[in-house]
Amino acid sequence: MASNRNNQKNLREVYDLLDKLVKKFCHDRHKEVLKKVTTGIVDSQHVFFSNNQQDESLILGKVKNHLANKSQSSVTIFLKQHEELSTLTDPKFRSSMLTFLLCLSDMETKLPNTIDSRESGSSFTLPVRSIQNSASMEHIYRNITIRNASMNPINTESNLKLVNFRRKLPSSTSTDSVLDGQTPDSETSYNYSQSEEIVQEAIYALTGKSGKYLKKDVTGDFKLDIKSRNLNAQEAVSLMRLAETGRLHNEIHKYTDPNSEFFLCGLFGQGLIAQIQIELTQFYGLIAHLQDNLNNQRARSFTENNDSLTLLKLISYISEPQKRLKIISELLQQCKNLKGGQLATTLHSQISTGNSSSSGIVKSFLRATCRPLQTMLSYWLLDGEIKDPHNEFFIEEIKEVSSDRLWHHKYRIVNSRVPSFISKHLAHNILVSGKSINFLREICEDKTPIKGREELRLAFENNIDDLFREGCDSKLHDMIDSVYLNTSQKVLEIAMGQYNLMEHLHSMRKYLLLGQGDFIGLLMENLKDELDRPAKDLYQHALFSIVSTSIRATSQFDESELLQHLDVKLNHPIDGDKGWDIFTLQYTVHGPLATILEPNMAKYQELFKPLFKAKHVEFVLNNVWKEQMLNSKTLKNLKKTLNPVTYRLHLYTSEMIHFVNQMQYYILFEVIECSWTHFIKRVQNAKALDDILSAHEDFLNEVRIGAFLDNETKTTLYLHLDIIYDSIMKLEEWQKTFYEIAYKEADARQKYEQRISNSEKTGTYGVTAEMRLERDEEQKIFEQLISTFKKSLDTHGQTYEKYVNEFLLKLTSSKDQNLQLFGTRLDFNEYYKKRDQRLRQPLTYEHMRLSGMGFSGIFSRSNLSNTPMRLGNHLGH
Amino acid sequence: MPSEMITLQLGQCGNQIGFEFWKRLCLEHGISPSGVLEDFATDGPDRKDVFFYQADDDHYIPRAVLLDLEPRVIHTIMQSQYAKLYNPENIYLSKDGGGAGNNWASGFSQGEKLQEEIFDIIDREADGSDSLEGFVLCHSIAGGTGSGMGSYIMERLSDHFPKKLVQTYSVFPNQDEISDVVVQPYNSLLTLRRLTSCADCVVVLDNTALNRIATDRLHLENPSFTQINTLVSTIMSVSTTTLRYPSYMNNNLIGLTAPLIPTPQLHFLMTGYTPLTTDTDTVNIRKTTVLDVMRRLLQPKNMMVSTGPDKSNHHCYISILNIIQGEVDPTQVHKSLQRIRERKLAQFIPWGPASIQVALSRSSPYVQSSHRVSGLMLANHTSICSLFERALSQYDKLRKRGAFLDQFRKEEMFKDDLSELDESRDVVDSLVQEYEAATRSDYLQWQAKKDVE
Repeated sequence: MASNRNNQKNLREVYDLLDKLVKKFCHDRHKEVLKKVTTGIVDSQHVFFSNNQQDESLILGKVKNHLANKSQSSVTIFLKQHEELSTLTDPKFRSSMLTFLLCLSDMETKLPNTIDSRESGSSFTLPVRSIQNSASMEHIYRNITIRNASMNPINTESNLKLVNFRRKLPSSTSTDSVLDGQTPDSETSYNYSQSEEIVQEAIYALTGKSGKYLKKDVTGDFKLDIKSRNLNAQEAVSLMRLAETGRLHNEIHKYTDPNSEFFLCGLFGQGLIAQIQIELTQFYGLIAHLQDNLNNQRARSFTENNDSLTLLKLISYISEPQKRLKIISELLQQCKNLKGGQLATTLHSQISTGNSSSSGIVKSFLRATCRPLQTMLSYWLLDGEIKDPHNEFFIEEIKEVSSDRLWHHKYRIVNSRVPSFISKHLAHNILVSGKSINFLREICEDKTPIKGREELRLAFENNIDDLFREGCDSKLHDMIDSVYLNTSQKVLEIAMGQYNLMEHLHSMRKYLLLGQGDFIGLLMENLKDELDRPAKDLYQHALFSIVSTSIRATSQFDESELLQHLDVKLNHPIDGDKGWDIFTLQYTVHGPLATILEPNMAKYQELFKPLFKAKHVEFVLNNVWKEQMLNSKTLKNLKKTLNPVTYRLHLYTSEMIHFVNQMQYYILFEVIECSWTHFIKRVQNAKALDDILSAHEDFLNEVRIGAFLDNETKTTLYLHLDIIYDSIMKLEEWQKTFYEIAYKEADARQKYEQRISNSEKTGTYGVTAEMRLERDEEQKIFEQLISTFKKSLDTHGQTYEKYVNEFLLKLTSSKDQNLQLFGTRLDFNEYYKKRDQRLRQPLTYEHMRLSGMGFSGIFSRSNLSNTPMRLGNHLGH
Repeated sequence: MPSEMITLQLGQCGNQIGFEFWKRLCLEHGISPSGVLEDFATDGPDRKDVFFYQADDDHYIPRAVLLDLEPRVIHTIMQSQYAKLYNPENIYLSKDGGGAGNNWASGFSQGEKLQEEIFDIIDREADGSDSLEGFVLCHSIAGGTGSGMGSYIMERLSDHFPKKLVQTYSVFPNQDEISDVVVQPYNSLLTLRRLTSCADCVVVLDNTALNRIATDRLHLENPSFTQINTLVSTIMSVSTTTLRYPSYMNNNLIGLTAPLIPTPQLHFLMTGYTPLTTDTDTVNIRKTTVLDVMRRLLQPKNMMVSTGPDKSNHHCYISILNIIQGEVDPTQVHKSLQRIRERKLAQFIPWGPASIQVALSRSSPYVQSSHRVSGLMLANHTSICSLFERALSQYDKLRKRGAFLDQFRKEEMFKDDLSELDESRDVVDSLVQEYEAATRSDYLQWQAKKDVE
């Protein structure tokens, strides 16, 4: 035996250690004691030097047995000490240590006095004075037991181990292996008394085995067999009570059985199973001890019978463990078929049932179950890795998502897997922390480990209990918060610093949301010729060069940088579309920011269209106005004929300019600027990248609502606005032909005059009567033409006003107070209100108040219209 | 560079206010008196190119043309520290240097004689800009050069640049003091005619109001030209601030004026400014809000035009644009507007939609203001016609007596008859009537009626 030989070499060392130990405890007599101890050890060296690990609970049972003989209180002290010890030491050493100490205590009987042994702060007293069982007997028994056990390969399944133990356990009086668990029926019991037989039966039943009297039925419950009729009632009842424990054992055991449908899957399940097995092993330890007692009793049965094991005693011994098993079994029933976070949630929910004895058990179960969670968390929080072979972790990585969408789509919280003790907020912080690490590593290629990684890792391992606590002020929460702050701060710094996130957002606002008025104005000017053409004739590169020219002309410094990001996109044209309809500016970000901003780009695209359209209308209208101003100077001669039309034209134009300007002002200033101010405030207070991103998201949503692009207004206001805009655009065409005709007439008149003056110079008479007639005819046609133009302008203007009235009506009857107010500002001097009966009513204070309180349904509008208008007005001020 | 503006400064007054304007712009843009960009101003977000261009050595030169018939003011400018700022080729002084003798007719005819040289300069300047938007004319309507030569140039500009807008900053004479220029009413009337028919937008700077503000509000005993001109330069610089510090709207001259001017004739704008304080008077009693500023701007005492009492209380705003600068919470703006509307603090025209437009403008980071918020109002108000009425009545008094017409008869234009004066009177009178009509809801019908007559 190689290992033994190795150990032989250490004997010297062992001796020194022993020397020290003994010196410490038995100062004056240490030589004497040491000698005895050494002898004892040499006698049983195979025990000490066998490398195989002993089952701790087995030894524990023996120690308990040993101590119980002395006093029950020392058992409790020992158990407490042992528990403490077990948190400090490795189970392998612990069992060796216990074996050693137990052996010492055996030997101590040979010593005249007490050894008080203490170890690593934990102490337990092994009384040497009196051990009821004969020392040598016990000694031999142990040696055999342990040797046998150690010779067999240790099975990880502790219950199997028990079977091993039982099988190998020789009765000290008989070599017959009578305790074959599988076939208790066949056993011959001639040397057992009746009561012993029942006790044995009960012990079998405790581990869930059928016996002579107790049979398992199909459901796993124990029933008294027909054979039991010769038992008295008390025995029968006691047996049944003990059998209940056996049933509970079986109940619990099935959860650990990989073949059972109850088997707990996954890492969380494994953790739970491990804890179940610890519990079961403890239970087996007790049974082993009982069996031990029974065996001893049998050995001594012929001589003394006063201390025999009875059913009643069994019941009293088993009552505590039974309760425990019951709690466990009930607990496990709830865990059936659960896995991962749900398992943890279920366990956690059982902590606070108010039952103090169960809560301890539940806690230990929960702790064991969450061990994998702890590992997963520390992997995730510290390295951003997901180690989750059974899909139990509440953060999921979506493998199909490529890393360029890492920030928003790659990782997500699976709500059903989040244990209840992890709050939404905490889960979110955990998600972001790991995500940030991944973001830094993969996208920003920053591979430095997070600050104080090792410390954090240790802290995680030691503070897992904090997770289950109520509230979120524990150390672990602080740790997670600090990881969250650390990582997200880092991401934030990188995004804001190295990658200029804010600069990009500013640029997007300036160029996509038209914040840079001079640029967009110039762009319109430059694009006009191109975009007036049919959409299908456009080329992106040509437009892009116009965009870049405009950028160069308006931006002061960042043009080349900016042009890398700004691009032209042409939407797919529909028949009849002009360039204006499909032109879109696009802002592309590269690198890590693309990951972050990508999902919002579509929103910017969506917003660009109506903003660009409004700007285009403004641009067209301004040019219409400019034409009018300039033409009024150049067409002075036709003033008389034109004035009735042009004045109407001016007024309509100024009405439209007013509308478009207010509209622009509303969207660009009230909506975008105000939301932006709000957004910037939030950015300044941001602690994490997500704070900025959610603020940004909110900003875009507010703008969407403001631009009438949300679901509610899109169908009403947005479409209506489009109609108004189209109506305005028609004025441009009208004006174009109108001035063409006017200029033609002006030219004709000028030529006519010129001809007269020319002919005057040459001395001939001005014009012939024919020419004059012709001129008069032309002028007449012109005047008629103008009057038809006047009519068409009137119709156009009236239609336009009708549209605006309807738009105002929609605004003022809107539920959104901002829109109502916008409606009143659009009609600041109540021009439309005075002209449209319908508009008066909704503008009154009463109406607004009532609709604000939701009473508008009760009082119909016709009711309200009875209220004198002036009263409503009066209340409004 | 887009939307450039060329400034034409004419006559004594025009050059003086122009000088103050450029001084102010240099300060705001961080340009030194010699045209070099100051170190602290290298990366400003402003648009200097609207009013300046850069020479080969990168120093900034105003797009300004300085014209005068007598050398006094221009010499002063050329001796100041700003001498090197201007392009010397853009400074035109009449060779004889005799001036226009405060005579509109003389200024007009000299303008005609010198037009080739003058338009050489203007053409060259216009060629130097990528997309010229228009001209800004600084002049007074009472003197000789600014009014007479100014009138001539205005007429020519619309022929020469039919696609360019002409905006003027026109100084109206002080009615409170007796002018030594006896023909002032003639000069004013003749200039007003051109302002009505040739300019697209006239910002009226009324010396009467400016002087009153200086004495009443700023507590200056005898306000000097410089002090008055500081007021003027403030108005000029703030009214161009949305062009120079562009943001979301009103970033070019059309965008600025189109919403203000509904019909071609009604293009006379008055201005108001708040807070009006001298530098010594900086005690702030309370926090100024947007509402405070907007409310004050609607008070007549802050207006830079003295319109006289509106007895029948029928005058009204055709349009208003408030340019607000300073620390403003944008969300307060529409609340203030709502409040003004509820309290009916402003009366608007009945014949079309009108409202107060607000432009929040950035202001120069290099000029420290003691005021948290300040505001300029550009308003088209019908009461401005009282100014023209006054000019008319003064003209009528003089004309009835046929006084001081000899000086005019000397010039070509008035040699044969004085029909020019009568025509001008008609134009100005019709302008007054149009403004009166604009106070009524049948403004549109009035136009038709007038044409029938």
